[in-house]
Amino acid sequence: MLLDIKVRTGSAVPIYQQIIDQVKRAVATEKLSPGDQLPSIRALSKKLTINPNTVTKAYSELIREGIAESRSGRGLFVIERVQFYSEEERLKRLEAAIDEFVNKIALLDFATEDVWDKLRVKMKEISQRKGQDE
Amino acid sequence: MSENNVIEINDFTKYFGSNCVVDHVSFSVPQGSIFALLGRNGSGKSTIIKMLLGMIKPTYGSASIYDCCSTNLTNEIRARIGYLAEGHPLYAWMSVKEICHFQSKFYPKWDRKLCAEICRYFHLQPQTKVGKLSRGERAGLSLALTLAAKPDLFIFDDPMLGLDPVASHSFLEMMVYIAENHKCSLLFSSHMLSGVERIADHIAIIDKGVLRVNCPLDVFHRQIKQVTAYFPQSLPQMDAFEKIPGVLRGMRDEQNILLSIANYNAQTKEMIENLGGVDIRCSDMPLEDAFIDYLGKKGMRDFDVSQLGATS
Repeated sequence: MLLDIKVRTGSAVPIYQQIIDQVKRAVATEKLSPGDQLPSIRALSKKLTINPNTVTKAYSELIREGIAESRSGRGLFVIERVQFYSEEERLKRLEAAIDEFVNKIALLDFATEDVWDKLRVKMKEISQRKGQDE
Repeated sequence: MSENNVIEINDFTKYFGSNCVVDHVSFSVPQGSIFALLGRNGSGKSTIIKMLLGMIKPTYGSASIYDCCSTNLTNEIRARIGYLAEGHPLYAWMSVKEICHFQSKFYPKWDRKLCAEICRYFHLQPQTKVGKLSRGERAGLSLALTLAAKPDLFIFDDPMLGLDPVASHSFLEMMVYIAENHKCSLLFSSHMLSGVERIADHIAIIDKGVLRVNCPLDVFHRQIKQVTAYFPQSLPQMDAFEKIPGVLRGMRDEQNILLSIANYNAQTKEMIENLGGVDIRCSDMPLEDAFIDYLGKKGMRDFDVSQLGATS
């Protein structure tokens, strides 16, 4: 399995959301490619020791958002990425993500420049990873 | 009763003398759900479970399991219920093998293989006397005895109480095993929030005998938010914030406030703005914090970081 999903309890992010986020991130960084299979609900709930309904919920959301599809009897597969969101929705989501990020780091007292540097490195990593496989 | 509920509790109330320990509690457990009953020590969880199983009589109110009244559970219904009492009481003088054999005689659907498998899973030796088992091993044994009877409904009273992290993790794994079988339902009480977060899909929170929350776990998780606001002028009096609906707890310094708020919405935000707050930000919080803020001491506290440093 290419993707090693991990969850953490005691986080502000609900477990099903953690699964969604990790799959999305893996798709965005092309660790997961179209056609790759996701672990079965049963296997993932066992591995993570979580309620199978939680995995089902995460997977349904991935299907709804057009990231994966269920092929009858064979499981869940990542599908060819289309732009999932309208321009407006993309912007809204970007702003929500930035808000959350800013809220979290506000209390850490880093200089804006330092944050920029770190952020630039991360963004570069993502675009490099995308470039490599092409 | 709805067809989809395995347990229905209606207006359960229990007085011990003049002391009301369970106060008009009603909820139902849907078929196939993993239902966690949460609350602090002495909040009435065990009393509810005991009344549900007909072990003590409610002062008023009633309950049913599979449509059968709690005070009058038939043997057929009892055979479908797997109950784990708090602390896993078992006959200490029997050996593991003996107690498995003994228990099997009461249950027509007894699964010997499953019983042996779970015993192995918890590393139990057949010849060991039950009285010599550690708490974690005893929990594993009582789980084996319960699961092997092949019940449809599991009722666990604080099953992970006092278990070490390894034993409670094994216990959780067995609960995932139960959850996989959609015909089974599980009602359990617990304090172990990390376990609840992993396994429960529905929660009820009891506080001093009163039912305070009854909803899917992630609804509860999402409904309680942490909100920060900055007050460029001076910060209003604390009781001004306490009047905002849903405010559970607050902390403040001179110009900032940090609030935990249930059901935070546009109206709540407006009320904070009306008090002079700007730069209002809202974020999710961990389940455990939400739980503590929900059940902990209400009201506002001042905090002063400089005082924290003063102890060193």
